[in-house]
Amino acid sequence: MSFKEYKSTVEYGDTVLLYIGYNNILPLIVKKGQTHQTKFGALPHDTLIGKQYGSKIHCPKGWIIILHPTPEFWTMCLPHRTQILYSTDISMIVFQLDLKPGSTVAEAGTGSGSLSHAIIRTILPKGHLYTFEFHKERYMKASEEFIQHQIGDYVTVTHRDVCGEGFQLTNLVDAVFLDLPRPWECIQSAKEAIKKEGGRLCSFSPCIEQVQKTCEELTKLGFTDITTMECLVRNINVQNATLQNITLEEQTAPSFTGDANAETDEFKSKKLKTENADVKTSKKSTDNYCFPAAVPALTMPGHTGFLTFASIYMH
Amino acid sequence: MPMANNIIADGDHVIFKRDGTCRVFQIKPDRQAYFEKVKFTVNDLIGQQFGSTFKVDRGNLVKLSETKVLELEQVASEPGADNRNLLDSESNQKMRLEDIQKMKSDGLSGEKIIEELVENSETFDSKTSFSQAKYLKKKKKKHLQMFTVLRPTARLVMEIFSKEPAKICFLRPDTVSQILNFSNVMYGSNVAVVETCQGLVLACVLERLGGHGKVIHIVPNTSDTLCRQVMNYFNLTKDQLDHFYSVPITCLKVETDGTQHKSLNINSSTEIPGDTLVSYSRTELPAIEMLPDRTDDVNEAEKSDIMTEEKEAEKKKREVKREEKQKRQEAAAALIQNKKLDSLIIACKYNPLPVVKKLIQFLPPSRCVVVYCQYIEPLVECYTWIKEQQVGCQLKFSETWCRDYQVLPNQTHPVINMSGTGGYLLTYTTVSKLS
Repeated sequence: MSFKEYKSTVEYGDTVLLYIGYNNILPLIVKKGQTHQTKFGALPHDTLIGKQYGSKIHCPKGWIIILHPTPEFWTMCLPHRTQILYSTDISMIVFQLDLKPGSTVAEAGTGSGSLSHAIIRTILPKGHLYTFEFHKERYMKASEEFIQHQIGDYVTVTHRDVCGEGFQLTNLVDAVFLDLPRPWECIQSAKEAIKKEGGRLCSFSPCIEQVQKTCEELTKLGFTDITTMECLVRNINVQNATLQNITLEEQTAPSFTGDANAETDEFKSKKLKTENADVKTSKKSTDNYCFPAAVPALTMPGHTGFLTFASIYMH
Repeated sequence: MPMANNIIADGDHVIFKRDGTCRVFQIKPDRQAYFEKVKFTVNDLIGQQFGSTFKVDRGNLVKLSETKVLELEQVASEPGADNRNLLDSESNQKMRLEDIQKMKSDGLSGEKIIEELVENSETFDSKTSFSQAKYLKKKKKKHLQMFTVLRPTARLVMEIFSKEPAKICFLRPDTVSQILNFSNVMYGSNVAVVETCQGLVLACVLERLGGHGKVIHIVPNTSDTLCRQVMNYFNLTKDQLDHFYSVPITCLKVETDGTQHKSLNINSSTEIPGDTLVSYSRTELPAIEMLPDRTDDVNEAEKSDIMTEEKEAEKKKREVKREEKQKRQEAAAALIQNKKLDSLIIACKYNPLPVVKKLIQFLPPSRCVVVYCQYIEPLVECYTWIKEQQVGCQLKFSETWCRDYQVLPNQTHPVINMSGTGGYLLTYTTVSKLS
């Protein structure tokens, strides 16, 4: 049952993920009689049936791994219809909105459904997500996907511009998430949607001017604990790094009658190495310093958006 | 959620929150609380709603209405242009310490005192609006003892530890949030957790299970004093705690015959040596105190020779409890050995690689593993090993950089101090070995 719970083997109608390589994952709906072309050659869907999730599948020119879908994988491989939220921000949003099974949430806009999947995973089976999208195509595509992923029961997708028309929800949700060009325009409506006993709100905006206006409006409407933050992920690679050791003292001929006993072994081992090595490099009296290095990525996304969180207590 | 759920009850853990400061407190009749240098009794909190704001008035709590709260948050201003004429001098404030103390003992409200302070300040009017706001904020903090009482959530509990992160292995909200998401913990999951964060990770996972599935705390055999104090903060119900298990890592045995049949593995789990069980019950002692009378009874029974019958009964009771524990441990061990785990989370002060090596043998393919460590080096080793052994895919090694912002009209900027590290994360998905 795809995103809702784990299952062990593949059946027709499942959304499976084809792991081709690091950060190279493709979603696939398994259909009878169909064939999928991968970079390793043809993959008939029928061969996947009954296979255990996580197993390796041989293709004509290599192998791939079939993986069980998770919201995090989905975020990596979903068809982009908009700019999407990524897992670092998503994790923070879900956590800071105090979401757990049973929570009800309002989200605007749905976009490509990246965050929606993570929210639904956390709040099911008794919680519910009300998500709003003003773009008709995106609204339809998202609705289809939720049903395809068998999480349609936990979400209501509405085609509406909440900025003009509001959420039209009253005293219903525990949390509101806004990813809109003018979030400050629907904070009043968000406040009405939040349960009388209180709740949380998050607004995601790429520009500081948007944050400024949003915070002003939040303060005006009685929200408290307003915090704005930025979260960036720094990916680390592990490599075997080599640095050259240079000679620090003027070289004298190695003397085995030298005073430092500890050095003797070192000289011996060096001597051995030198003897074994190519005669041409025998001049090199230094070894290389080799170590496993944790290397941060050379370039990284330096900005995604500002996350503004706020609470409203009993209102 | 029904409204009854939102009422503070005797025995509840609550969070006192005031600006950036959070404290957890267990409500008990006549208990004195000490928060932000003020002492008060908590009796008046029982029966109030979570989310209420209170003021301390000479040791008593006064509930504030919503409009009142907002009023106090507002800042008055008729600002000066800049600070060229400001001199730092004692004479700027006409009121002396004795005056303020007298006002306090006369029972004047904090608002009144601040009003007087502003009136008697020579320099207040010529301050810029920014520094006026700052001044008022400072005085409010000192003279208005206001705080809000909230239901504990993972987010608020993290705030308690923001000033002493060493107690929870330097976990930060962003790291905890990623541990919970990348492990794909959800309603009904079976999650194995190795943690030394005082039960914080266990509680967060338990909360995300929504009363279904299992959290299995995998503990070292030798540890007598495993602390799970933080689990108490979450007001977890008996029903939720029924889904919590604890198993010594030494009890977990890999099937050696190589056959991956899914038959019940009861035989192997009953072969646990006796001393393991003893140490298991010892590790259980400092855990959640569901039965506070337990230790007291033991001491009394030892003292009195007359009550041998009671002693016997007590002994039997303990025996039953121990058996119960043993059964639960066996059930959890069997679940792990039958490869029914959905997620593995490691966030501890133990060397992670040996733990990873042992535990991933019990994970079925296509399941999520998250290893957190406050240091980078142990995870470099884990990364290298996982890569070499090809036991997983989508191996991701990362840290997060997180910065707070002050957002105010014309003075928006990053907060001066930020956390330098929230530890490191290694996440990957298990795969079956290529046959």
